[in-house]
Amino acid sequence: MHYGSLYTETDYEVKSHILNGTLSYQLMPSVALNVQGTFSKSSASFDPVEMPQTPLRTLAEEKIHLANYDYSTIHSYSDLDYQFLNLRLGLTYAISKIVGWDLVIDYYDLTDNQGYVYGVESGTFYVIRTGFSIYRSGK
Amino acid sequence: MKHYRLSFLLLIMIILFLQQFGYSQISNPTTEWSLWMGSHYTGLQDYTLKVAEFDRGVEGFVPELRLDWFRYSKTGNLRFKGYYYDPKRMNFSFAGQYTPWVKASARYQSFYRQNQRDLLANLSAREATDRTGAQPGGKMLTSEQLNPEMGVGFRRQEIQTNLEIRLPGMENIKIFASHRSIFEKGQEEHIQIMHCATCHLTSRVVDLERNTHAVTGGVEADLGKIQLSYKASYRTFSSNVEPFEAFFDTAQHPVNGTLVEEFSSRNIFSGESVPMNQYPETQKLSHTLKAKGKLGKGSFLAQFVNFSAENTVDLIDPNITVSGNLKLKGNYGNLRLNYPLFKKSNFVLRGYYGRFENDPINIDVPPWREGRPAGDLDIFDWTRYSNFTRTELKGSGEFIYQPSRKYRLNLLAGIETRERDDYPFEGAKDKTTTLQIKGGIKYRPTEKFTGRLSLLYKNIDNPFAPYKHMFERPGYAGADSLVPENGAPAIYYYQRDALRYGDITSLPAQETGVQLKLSFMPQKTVNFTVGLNASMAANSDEPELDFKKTSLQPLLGLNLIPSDKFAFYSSYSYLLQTQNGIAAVAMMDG
Repeated sequence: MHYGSLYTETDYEVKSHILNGTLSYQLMPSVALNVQGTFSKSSASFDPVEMPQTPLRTLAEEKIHLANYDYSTIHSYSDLDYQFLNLRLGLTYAISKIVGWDLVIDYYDLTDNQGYVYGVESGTFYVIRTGFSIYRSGK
Repeated sequence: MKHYRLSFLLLIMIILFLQQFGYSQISNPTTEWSLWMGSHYTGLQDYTLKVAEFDRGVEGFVPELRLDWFRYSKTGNLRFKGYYYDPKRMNFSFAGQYTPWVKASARYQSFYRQNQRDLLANLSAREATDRTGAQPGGKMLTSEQLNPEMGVGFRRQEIQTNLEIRLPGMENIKIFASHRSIFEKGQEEHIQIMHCATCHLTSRVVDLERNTHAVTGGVEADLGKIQLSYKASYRTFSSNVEPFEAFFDTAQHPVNGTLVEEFSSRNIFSGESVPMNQYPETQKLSHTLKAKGKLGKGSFLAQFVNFSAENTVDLIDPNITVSGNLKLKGNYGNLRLNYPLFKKSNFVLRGYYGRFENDPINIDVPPWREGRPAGDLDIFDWTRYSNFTRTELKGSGEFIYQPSRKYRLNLLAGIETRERDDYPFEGAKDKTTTLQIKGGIKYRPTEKFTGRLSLLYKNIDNPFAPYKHMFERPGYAGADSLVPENGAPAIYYYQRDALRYGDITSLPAQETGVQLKLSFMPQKTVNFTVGLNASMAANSDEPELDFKKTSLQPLLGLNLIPSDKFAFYSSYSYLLQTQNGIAAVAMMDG
């Protein structure tokens, strides 16, 4: 048996903080340091659904004997709460005018405090890179 | 595979052409090159499909190589750049120019994307026959991962070649041609949704192999006060993976397995294998004419585009017929005029017209309740009209005045209309009209302070909204009450379409916005910025929802450069968005 739709208004709120920073420092004439960072914290949620007790609701809940309509958790189904951190540390060393060495560390970390369609997505990923460079120029 | 080879052949031909032509034509050259050789280690911990989405997801050491080689002189140049990151991520480019006759380039790029799999975990429920939930009932929703151990993702490779030629004695005419191919190969997730009689969802991993090819050719002529160009483009998309066949559950009573004939007769698929995951094969052809030049003290830019596209694959499902020779076609044009009305001012007039036609699709499905008492109803055949069939008009005038370097003012007024021929039903001509006014000021009294302020107001008449979808009237008594149709034994769910109402949308009918940015530079080594973006939108067109949406975003920035050895840049922003909406619940027991 159908008794149509019940509906009510609810509010949705999104909050997001994003912080960025970059620092460059020439430690010595041949050595340079570079540090970069990004941090973000984002969340989104509905207010609880407060379904009004209308005559239609009363009738439907009486007639649909076996139904146990519970609106108290609907608002939490699509809550989102993420934190993301990315750090980069870079160091370059000019061994000579044509040869250099560098080291870069990239670090990414995601924290998922809710878990949704794909499950809890929290994880860490990092890359450590090092190598030598050669520069040449001429006729 | 044939297109794959052709694309690589083009890439090699351009490289050989550049190599031969460049070396023979560039005289007295200078060569610069740099080589980076190293290695990287990738570490992964916990769930990394999201945080390392564009990594190939393999831990360990990989050698890495980067080369930049550049040979140049006054008469031309050649450049090769290459970067090998790992077996799935690399890019190479080769470009050359012999001034002013030939310019050519070739580029190859590859990367990998890991996709996440829908766990379907929230798609599992069963009704209870008591209010405590202790006794399971008949109606249920189940889900199943058929290949839970398999990951999904694809490698994307792109090859692009460009050639520009000018003929001796006709330096004002440029002939150009380009080509672009994109190959995507890997695996993707396919979710099969069984009919409502079983409410069973399955997820499986299937192969993915998508190819896109585009070729473009044209000519540009510089006639002095006016420059004209014509360009033709042809693009194709196809998949090399054949559709797979998957079994659809037999429609029956979900608990005791009875009533197969009745349940099956209400569904298109029941107890049979059905081909699915069929990709379209599309072809698109477009022609573009462009003109720009001087107009008295001002200038103009005009463009006209004609295009047509079609899908050449027919639906292979024997139960459904999609008829018609289906095409999408359109014409659109832009015009922009710049004219200084008086000294230190500029007036910009913009106009746009577009007309798009997307053929309707006629869908023929089997009769409803075929072979059942009071059945055999041919009521679900329908024509799907596209709301992309539309006419668009846009026009705006912007006045810009900058009497001195200290301040600049601008004011824009515009109108935009979008008329959809067949939305929400055939011939309805649903029309959205948007009026907007935007103004701004930039104030810079000294080098130590810059302030920018802009304001926006929009009025949107009849924003796009789903038609009669949000709510259902009860329908159990009174004027709305439903009765079995055509002698059928019961009231069926499709009849409830007649009870639906509510054109609820989260698109605004009025919108206001402000942007403020203030930059202070007390010394040359310090720069401080504060800003605020704010907007408010509302829509009271529907009685069920007084829609409101607000957005507030303060911004801060601080840059310090105390010496040539030290630099620090930082920024912070906070975003707060609020909006209201409708939570609607269908009150039903089956």
